[in-house]
Order: sequence, then structure tokens, then C-alpha cells
Amino acid sequence: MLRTPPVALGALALFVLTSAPSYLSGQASKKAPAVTAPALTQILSSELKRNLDGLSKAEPAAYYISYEVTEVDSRDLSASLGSLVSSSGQRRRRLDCSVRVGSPEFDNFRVTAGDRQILSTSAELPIEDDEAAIRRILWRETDRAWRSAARRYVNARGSANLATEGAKTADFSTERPVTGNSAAAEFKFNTQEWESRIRKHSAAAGVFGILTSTVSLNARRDIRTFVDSEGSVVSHGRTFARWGVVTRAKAYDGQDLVTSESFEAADPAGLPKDEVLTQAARKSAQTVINMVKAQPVDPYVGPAILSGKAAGVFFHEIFGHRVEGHRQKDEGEGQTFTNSLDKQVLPPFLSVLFDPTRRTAAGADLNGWYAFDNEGRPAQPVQVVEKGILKRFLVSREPIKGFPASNGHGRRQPGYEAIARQSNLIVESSKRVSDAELRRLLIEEIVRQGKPYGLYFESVTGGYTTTRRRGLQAFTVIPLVVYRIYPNRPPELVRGVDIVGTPLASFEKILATGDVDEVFNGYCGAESGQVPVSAVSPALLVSEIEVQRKPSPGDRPPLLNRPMISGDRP
Amino acid sequence: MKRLLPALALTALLPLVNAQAQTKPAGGEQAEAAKLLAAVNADPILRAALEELGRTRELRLMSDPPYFVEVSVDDARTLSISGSFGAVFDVRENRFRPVRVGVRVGSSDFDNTGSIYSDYYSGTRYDSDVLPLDDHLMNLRGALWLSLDRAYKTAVEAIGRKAASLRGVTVQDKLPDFGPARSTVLLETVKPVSVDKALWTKRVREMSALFTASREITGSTVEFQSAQSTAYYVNSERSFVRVGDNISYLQARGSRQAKDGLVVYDGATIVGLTPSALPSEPALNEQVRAIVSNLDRLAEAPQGETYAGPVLFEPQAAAQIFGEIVGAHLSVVRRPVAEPGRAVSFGGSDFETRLGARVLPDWIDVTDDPTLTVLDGSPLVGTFKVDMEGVTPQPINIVEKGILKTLLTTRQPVRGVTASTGRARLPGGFGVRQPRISNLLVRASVSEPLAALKTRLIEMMTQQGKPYGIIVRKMDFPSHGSIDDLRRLSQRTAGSGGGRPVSNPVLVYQVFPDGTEKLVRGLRFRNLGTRAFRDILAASRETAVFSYVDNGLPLALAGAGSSVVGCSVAAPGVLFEDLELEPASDDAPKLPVVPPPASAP
Repeated sequence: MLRTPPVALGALALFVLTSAPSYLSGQASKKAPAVTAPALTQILSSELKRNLDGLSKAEPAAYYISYEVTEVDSRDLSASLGSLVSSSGQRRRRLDCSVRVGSPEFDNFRVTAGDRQILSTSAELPIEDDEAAIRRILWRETDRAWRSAARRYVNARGSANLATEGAKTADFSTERPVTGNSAAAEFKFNTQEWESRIRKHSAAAGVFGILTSTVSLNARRDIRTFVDSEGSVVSHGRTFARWGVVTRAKAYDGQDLVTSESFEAADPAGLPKDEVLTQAARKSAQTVINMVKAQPVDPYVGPAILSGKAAGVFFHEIFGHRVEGHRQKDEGEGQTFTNSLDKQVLPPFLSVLFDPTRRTAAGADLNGWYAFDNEGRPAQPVQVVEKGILKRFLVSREPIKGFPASNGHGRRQPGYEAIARQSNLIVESSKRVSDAELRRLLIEEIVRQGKPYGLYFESVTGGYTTTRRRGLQAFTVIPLVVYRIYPNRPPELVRGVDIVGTPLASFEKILATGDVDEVFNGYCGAESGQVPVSAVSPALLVSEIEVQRKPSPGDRPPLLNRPMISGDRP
Repeated sequence: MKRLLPALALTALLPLVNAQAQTKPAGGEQAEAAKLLAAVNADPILRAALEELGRTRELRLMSDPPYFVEVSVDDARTLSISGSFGAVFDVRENRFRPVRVGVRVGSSDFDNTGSIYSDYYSGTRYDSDVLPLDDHLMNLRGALWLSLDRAYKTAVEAIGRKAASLRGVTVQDKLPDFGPARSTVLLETVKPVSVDKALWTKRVREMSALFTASREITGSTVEFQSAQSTAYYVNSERSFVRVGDNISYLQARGSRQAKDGLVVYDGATIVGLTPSALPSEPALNEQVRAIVSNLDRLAEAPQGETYAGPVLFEPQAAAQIFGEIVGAHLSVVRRPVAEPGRAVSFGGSDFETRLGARVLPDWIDVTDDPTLTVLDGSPLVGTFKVDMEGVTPQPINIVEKGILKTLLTTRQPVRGVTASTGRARLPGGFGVRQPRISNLLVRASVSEPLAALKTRLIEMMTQQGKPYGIIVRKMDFPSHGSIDDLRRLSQRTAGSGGGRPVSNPVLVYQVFPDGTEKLVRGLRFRNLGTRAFRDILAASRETAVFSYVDNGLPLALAGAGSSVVGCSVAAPGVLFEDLELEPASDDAPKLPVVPPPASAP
């Protein structure tokens, strides 16, 4: 598995998943048969009503209850150098129950002194639509959620009395109830076939000098059923499959080296052919071996090109997290953009759209797709930046100043509270040039700045950022494959590169973009857990980026050679 | 200490065969060794382990190669089915090959183990906790190569740090770090155990539905767990082991609130070596019904009061406390080495310093016998053939006429017991394994009918002028409470002077002079420890066998932990002269505002 991104307290991380977490969902194919789950929605609705009837008369009275059930059907396989390493699957259902007491203007979710708590309850539910069993668990969890809501509400009331300033915004938006049934494809997966396929793919990474190489295949279907006391009843689902390879080696000086490649598709059948996957596994191993031989990077400041995938992660980290609605009102946040509405925040040739309704881009299926968010709101495209001007934020049902209603971005991992999160981030550029031209512009910039070389970030594994007011407002994109680009000699692979930087300064340095969009599919971790996201961007030319050498653990590569008998190939 | 490492050559196996086959005609030795080598080579896991173990002689890192290396692998299949209130949550099947390697550097007198740094590696781990599932020799070897490399570097780092922490400290009664043990060659042909998934899914569903009989039960689960494994063990002292290792259990638990809000819970874990060794369906259902009925009875029962005086443990409850308290303190590992003054969280054993002393009445004997599978018709689950260090366990007389004769140990020598007693059964920290009981048999040479013990209890309390005496029928061991319950218990134990937490009694009865009994709830013991066992007054003729799965956690907390072993305890009921009980002071949450849903909608 990949190194966990170094997530500091309050840091938000984006990463490629090497083994999918249990909540993870997939994407629906377009002509899927409707999955009818009336049994579950009926049980949920009637037990919700029964509990609201009782709790609306309690003290403090509940005014809102929601149940969300996430059913995950998944298969996770992995193989290494021709041998199967793991093969497992599961089907589970999880309930999230939320109870609000007080009123939408002031309820138990009021954030006081930056203290955001998990007040919903979460429990395992049977995978069978057994009414008696499900009702009993709903009853118990609603009771627990009301208790924690009541306790929190009384505390929040107390703190509010002490506060010098009244709240400027309500705690819960007013929305019209929705009913929706978005089809989820049937979950079809041939385990044996894929076991034998990934065995073959993984064998191609058996290149002398690597330490480990793992090919993984994760496929799953996710069905979410949401009901609330306002009358919303939503059932929707997706399927998603991901093939990935991660290859690792260690340089003579102890530096850990890793390369990875992945392909995603709504359905496993949509993944590339065996030739492509085998080639990706082989390339992953060859690149890591080239990195073993490469020079460690020196600290450097200068122009660079970020590939489309790297640029997507760059935007997700430095921009996307800072337009999440709740950060505009939490006092502990840096609030980089809070007062920047209708102001220039990006170069005028760039626009940023968050569009969870889009299922594909640049020929790839997108992971940040959904039909309804975790608060039962329909997904909708949100044009956050138009021609460099900040127009709006991503909003959940937690209103912020100027944005009293949700725009369908209230998201969470089961077990967490939904907050405004990113979906499919799409960078749109009106200053697109061909790859060759972008390369030429880079060299021009290198020469103009009098630098010996520039950098090309080919692939990244993710990144993280801190948005809190305390501490450094920094971001990092974790590069895997980086080249030095010289004006007059071939590119040179370097290793051990860490990007350092501060957010605002970085935007001003974008000079131009490429003309080919690339897709980074991953998982974003933040206060509301991990949610599937995508970032779509063309390559970026930046006038200045600062890099440093990654700290190295300094331990030695294995003391003995890998056991190998010639001819003993998988 | 043997320092030889195995080689692939036939001759390397010869001394071993010599040692094992002294009675055999001399000409058969070569043939025996050849047979063993052929058997090892025919098994890809054994062969990979042997070949990589052989290469560890070449490991050098500013120090000598390891003096001892071991590899253990489980080739395991697991099935887990859980359900609640008549519906199934999850059916999960898994196949995996967990691997564990041990590397010792230095010498048996002083090595890298037994220190707080023993398991700490400052570098990057490239090895995995599992081997590939395919029998591909080079890939199995490749995985072991990375594991052994990391383990060797860890060992070199640890021995340096350990030596540094001991600098300037005078160690009294210095013990070696690694004790001698006979090597074991046992290559069984392991037959697969079949598990009927459909049958157990149906049973879990039906048993979990039994909890719907009571409307007020808020939480309940029924869980079936089954693991079938072929356990491999190879070490550099030429132990070669391949044995079957199976365990299955059904766990049921539930909780509800009493009228005053206090939460009551009860549960049972029923263990068998294989699914077919578990009790019949009606018998299992009976046990689940008993939990449901206990929950409702406990909810109705009054809160118990502070009590000090005689307490009678009926046979099952007695077997539980013998397992939990006596069994735990018999299992001894040494406190790890740390810098002077550094606090280390480590639950020591009361018996560690009591060898040769009286720990029980002189009419009680205790043996631990891993060779038994049945006792008076009751199946035992503590049976095993080879421990985690490749040592073949023997029956041990631990307590003779009340005197503590030995302890249950691993190859880590402890004061008074320098050679392994073959009870390394669970993984542990600090580079050593954890010993556990197998089948602990408590025998009283003087006994009387249980009814007579009850009469004695009444006599004693009448003499002492007490309104009632106490009978305990069931302890919460292994604990079926929540993690929060365990946390509270640990905090209380820490608050009252430390030591190991002891589980709470579940079924406690007040017994009145006329012999009538009244169930009370919410009581717990104060200071119930090994000391109390010396003063047992009497034992019953009736005995009970109690089996459980131990996972190395406090109270063997049910459902937690990744490694489990089966343990059985056979014991008579026992009468203690003087124990103290007190009401739990936990806060009682209010009752739910909304009434429970109708059970039959």
C-alpha cells in the first residue's frame, strides 16, 4: 500500500486509493435497470415518522430527523509478481441517523468556538429487508441521536448566551423535499476471471531491482437510501471499478521510491484491455528502477509544467478546499476567499466548475459523480470561478452568508457529519496551447529567468493542505515522477521531490495551460471523512514552483538479493 | 544454545533425526532424513521458509548474523456471519496467509527481545503481514526475504537500544533471554474442515430472532466465527511443523435498560474446535433463550447492595474465575526492559514470585493438559499439538496440594522456570509470545454436594448475623460488554490500586436463611484477586467445564482481537469465606422517549 499522506491535524488530503475503503462507492452505468427498494424506504419512512411523533413532543423537541442507509457490495483483489495475494468481498449496510432539536435558526449543530462535533449516530444494519430487525435498530439509534442532540443543544444555548455577537446565519437551510430513484447498475463481477487477469498483469512488474509491486482491483456498488422528516425519499446508486499498480524500490541512500498508475471505470468491463494493463504494470516497475538510478533532487525555485493530473490535484488542494462553504464561517479557518466574492482570484483565462452531475471527462469515468448528496439534495453544477472571478462557494444545508440554500455539495463518509465538500473539479481554460507549445513556453521561461532547467511533474499520488488560521497555510502535492527539462538536452528523471508553497502566491504564477484535459480520480479526506472526488485539468505552466528534497528514512535496502532462480518465472 | 542454521543439504537434517530416532536402527537415519527433506520440499510454504531461513546466515549489519530465526505461517480460511433481531448483517469469507517471523541477534543470554524497543523499526517496512495465496515458491520466498530482512534490522536496532537502556543499571538475578527447547518435527496431512455456510447463516438468523421475544432489548447480535487453518512453523533449530489449527464459535449478546435506566447486558460464547463440534441447534437455541430471559430478569431485579461475607460460586462461575484470575496469573512473561524511570504499561503476574508457596487450599490440585480433548463427556477446546515456538506441550501439574509448582511459560525464561513449558499460544509484544492455559483442570480432593455448600453458606451468614449470603452463577467472562464498559472497569481498577481488571458478575443471588434466592443486579467485586483463592473453604462435588476464546485482551473482551485460542477450564463450585461486592456507580441514562416498535408489525 502507498505511504499514507502525511496528514497533519486539520490537514485535508487527497490521494489515490490503493485499497479502497469500505464506504467507497461506484458509478452507475447509463442504462441500468432500476433497483427497487420499496421495502427499505417504507420501513425507514414509517419508523422515522413514529420517532418524530414521539421526539417532537420531547424536551428539547426534535424538528428534523433523517436516515441514510449506505449499502456497499464490494470485491477487492490484489496480486504481486504473478501470485494472488488477497481476494475478498463483502456486502454491508450502514445507517446514519441525524436528529435536529431546536429550530433551523438555532439547533444542536450550531458551531460554537469552531467546535464541530459528530452528533449523528451510525450503526450496522442487516442486508436483508427485515422489518422487525431494522425498526428495532432505527429506534435505538434515533434515541441515541436525540440524546446527543439534546445534550449538545443545551450546551450550545449556554455558549450562545455568553457570546458577544449573535449568529449571522441559520444552522439549517430550508429546502423543498425531493423524491428520486436513480438507477444503480446490478453488481456483476467475475472474481475468478479477474484473479487470473491481475496475476498476469502483476507478473509484468517482475523487473530486477524492485522491492514490491502490487496490482489491485477494486470493484463495488453503492446504493444509498435517504429519507427525512421533510418528506424527501431518495434512492440512488453507482458502481465503480479501479485497477491500480504500485511499485516500490529503495535507492542506495535509503530514499523510498514509488510509482503508481491507475485506471477507473464505472464498470469493471470498462477498464482497459489486458495489454494496456500489463504494459502499465511493466512501466511502473521500469520507472521505479530508473528512479533508483536517478539523481536526488536539489532544492530549486523555477518554472515548471504540471501534467493535467498533477494540476488537478494542485487545484483540488490549493483552491478547492478553500471554497468549501463552512470554511467561510468557521472562525478558526484561514478564510482565504471569504471576502473575495466577485473579485479576481485566478488568472482571467481560468474558470473552475464543480459538477457532480458529470459522469465522464476526457474519455474517463469520473469518481466524483453522484445524483444526490448525503443530505438528500440533488446534485447540481456549481460554477465557482468565472474568468478568474470568484462567484460562489460550495454549500451544504449549513447556510453561509449570502448562500442560504444548499447547492448539492453536502457530503460525508458514513459515520461522519455532512459538510460542504468537492465533487468533480473541472478547470476550464481559455488560454490553451498544444503540448509542444507549452514545452516551448517553459523553455522560454527557463531562459528568461536564467535558470539551468525547469521541472516537469508527470505524476502525483495526491496531496494535502491546511486551511486553518493557526499554522502555516500551506499545501503539498506529492509528486511521484518528476523530470528536469533542459533547454538543450534531453529530460532527466530526478527523485525525492517535495513541492513547497503557499496558496495565494501560487495562483498568480499560472502562465498558460495545455490543450488536453486529464482526469485524476481519487478520494478526499477531510472533516466529514473520505469522499470520492475527481479533478479534471489541462497541464499548467507555472512561472515559479519551489521544491525540496524529501526527507529520507535513511535505512538500507535489503541486505540480501531477492531470491531468484532463472527460468522460474510465473 | 544451538547456533546451527538449517541448510538444504541432507546432512543438516541428520543430527535432528539422530536425536529423534534413537531407538531406530542406525541404517534408517539417512532414509528418515531423506524422507523429511522430501516432505519439506514437497510443500511450497515449508520449502520457502527453509530456504529463506538458510539464507539468513548471510545477514550482516555491523553485527553477527542472527543466532535464531523462526517463521510461522497460517494458511487460513475464515467465515464470519453476524445477525441481529432475525436478520443477517454480513456474511464474510476470507482466505489469507498471515506470516510472522522472529529473528534473534546476540546470544541466548542477551538478545534483542524483552525490551520496549524489540518491535520498533525506524526504517521503512517493505514486507507484508501476509504471504501470497498461490503456491509459487519464488514469490513465497520473496515475501519472506523482505520479512526476515526487516526483522533482522529491527533486531539489530533493538539490541543496541536495549543495551543502552541497561547501561548504569545493576540487574539482579539476571536471567537469559531465550531458554532451551526440544525441536519438533511434526508434518501432518491436514484435512480440510467443511463449514456449511447456508446452515450457519440460517442458524444465525434464527438465533438472532430469539432476541425479538423481548421488546425492550435495544442491542443484540449473534455472530458465528469459524477459522480453518494449516499452521506452519520452521525454526533454525530444525523444528518443522505442519498441523491443522481450527476453531469455531458462536457468540450471542444483548443489552437493555432497566426501569431506572441502568443498562444490563449478558452474553455467551460457545466454542468448538470445528463447527460440527459445537452443541446441537436446540442446545444453542437454549443458551440464547437463557440470555434473553436473563436480560429481562436482570432488568426487573433490584439493584444489589454493598456486601462483605461468604460467597458461593457455582461450578460455571467458579470455572470462569479460575480461568480469568488463576489462569491469567499462571501465564508469565517478564516485564520488558526500559530506561530507568520510564513507565511501561505491563500487567504483571501475582504468581511470578510465588513458586513453592501455597496459592490454593492444600486439598486442591491444578493441572494444565493440552492433550485432552474430552473430560467426562464434555468437549475441551484448549487442545493443541505444538505451540507458537514449535514446542510440543505436555500436561503439567501446576499446583499440587495447594502449592504452586511451576508456571505456564514460553521460551522466555522466568524466575524459577528457565525452559519453555510449551504454552506460547498468542502473539505478544516486546518480541516474545504470550503463554496461555490449555485445558486447566481444577480438582478438589475434598468435596461435598453443591446443596451442602449452600447450607454452609447459610450457616456462615447466620452466624455472622447477616440477612443474606451471596451466590454467583455467572460471570461476565469473557466479557460481552462494550469497549466503554471495559474502559470503565480498567479505570476503576487503576483507581483502586492497579492490577488486572476482573470481570463483573452477571447473575448474583441473595440467599436468605430459608434458602430462597433473589436475583440482584449491578454489583461488582472489590479486590477479587489471586489472594482470595488461598482461603477457599470448600468445593462442590459437581464440576463444570467452561470453554472460551482468549484473544490476549483484558477480560478476553468478546469479539475483539485478531488472534484467538481456545481455552477450557474444569472446576468445582467453590465457597469463599470473605469477599466484597459493591454496587456499580455508573450513571443510568434515561429511558427512551419513544416506546419500542411493535415486534410483530
